[in-house]
Amino acid sequence: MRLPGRRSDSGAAWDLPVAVGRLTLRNPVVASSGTYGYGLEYRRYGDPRQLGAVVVKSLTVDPRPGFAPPRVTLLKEPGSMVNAVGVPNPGVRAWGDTILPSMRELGVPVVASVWGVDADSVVAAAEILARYRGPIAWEVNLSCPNSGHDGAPVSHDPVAAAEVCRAVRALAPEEVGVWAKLSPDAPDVTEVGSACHRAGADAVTVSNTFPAAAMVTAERPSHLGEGTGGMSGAILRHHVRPLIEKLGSSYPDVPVLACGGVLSSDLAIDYLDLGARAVQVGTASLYDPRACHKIARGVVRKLRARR
Amino acid sequence: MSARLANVARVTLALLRRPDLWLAALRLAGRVVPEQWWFRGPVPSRAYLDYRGKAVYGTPLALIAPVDFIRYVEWCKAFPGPIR
Repeated sequence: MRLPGRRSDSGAAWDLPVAVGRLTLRNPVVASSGTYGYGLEYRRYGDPRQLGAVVVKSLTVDPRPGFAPPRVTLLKEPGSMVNAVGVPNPGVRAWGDTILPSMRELGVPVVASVWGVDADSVVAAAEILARYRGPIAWEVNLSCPNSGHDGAPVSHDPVAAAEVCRAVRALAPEEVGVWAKLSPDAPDVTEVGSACHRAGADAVTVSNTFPAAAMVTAERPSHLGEGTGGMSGAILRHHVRPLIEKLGSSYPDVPVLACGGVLSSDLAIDYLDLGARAVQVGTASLYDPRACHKIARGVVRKLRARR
Repeated sequence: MSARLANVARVTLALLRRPDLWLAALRLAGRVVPEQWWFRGPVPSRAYLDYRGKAVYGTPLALIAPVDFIRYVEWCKAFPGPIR
């Protein structure tokens, strides 16, 4: 039996190197954007260096306060939730000047996520991010309105998504990976993913949360300040799994990071068996602050045992 | 009594009224005990709680409402875990 608060193991127990584009991650378990802070908030629950990477909350050109509370509602479906946090962040500059140095000092494998209210703003955030060294990859959050096309979200339009990825790739240092985070509600997610890869994204993250309104019932009243938000957790898995399968069969050369309902090492391994290079853990961290580490440890142990 | 302590009392009272959640709450308490807790006591990390408060309420200073805490423990109880 494990005593609460036992010191985590270190060293080789976490090593299962995996190639994701131009990068090699320590192991295939990554903390998803917006669910693990900057890694610093969770440092007393596990060493962030033991994870494949930590994707930070999306960063924008200017600081954002986020949406009105409440920002999270827990669904009746086990392990599922809806959030409308609204990308609160200090802005790329403040993050790069004040938070990134602490993350580097701690040795966190940082992935910087960039977002904007439109495609141009995403690229503008990446321009500022290019001034800072430290992140091993940039994740481009494509869930934003399309400024120059037909009004569809960038993440729904292969051409617009590819343009953003091409522009961000041109700004990123050679050694830094670029990951494109796709939306699960795009008409053809695989087309968008392939277009992003051809435009220079090393990998695609499948996927962001699914747009949803929190259900309100007399039995369980719940609401969000914003009204609608993004659904995540176990319920998202039913949607993401077919997308991973389809992307793997249609475009096997596109490296995929699977994100959606990774609540255990077995579910993570299921995604890896489908062809994903790595997985991102999100909602599970709300249940257990050690979720990323437990899943990483389980994945490393079980996949090593297979060899 | 500080507002924070008063809120802890309200949350505890709400939990005491739900014996069906006691075990889930005990497990939750075990999960949030940090590494090397013997140096600072078996209490959750301040940085972690602030981060969670900010994510849900928009400010790290927010006090969790008893109804939200009960809903969270219900959610934890139904969670398809434990994670391993």
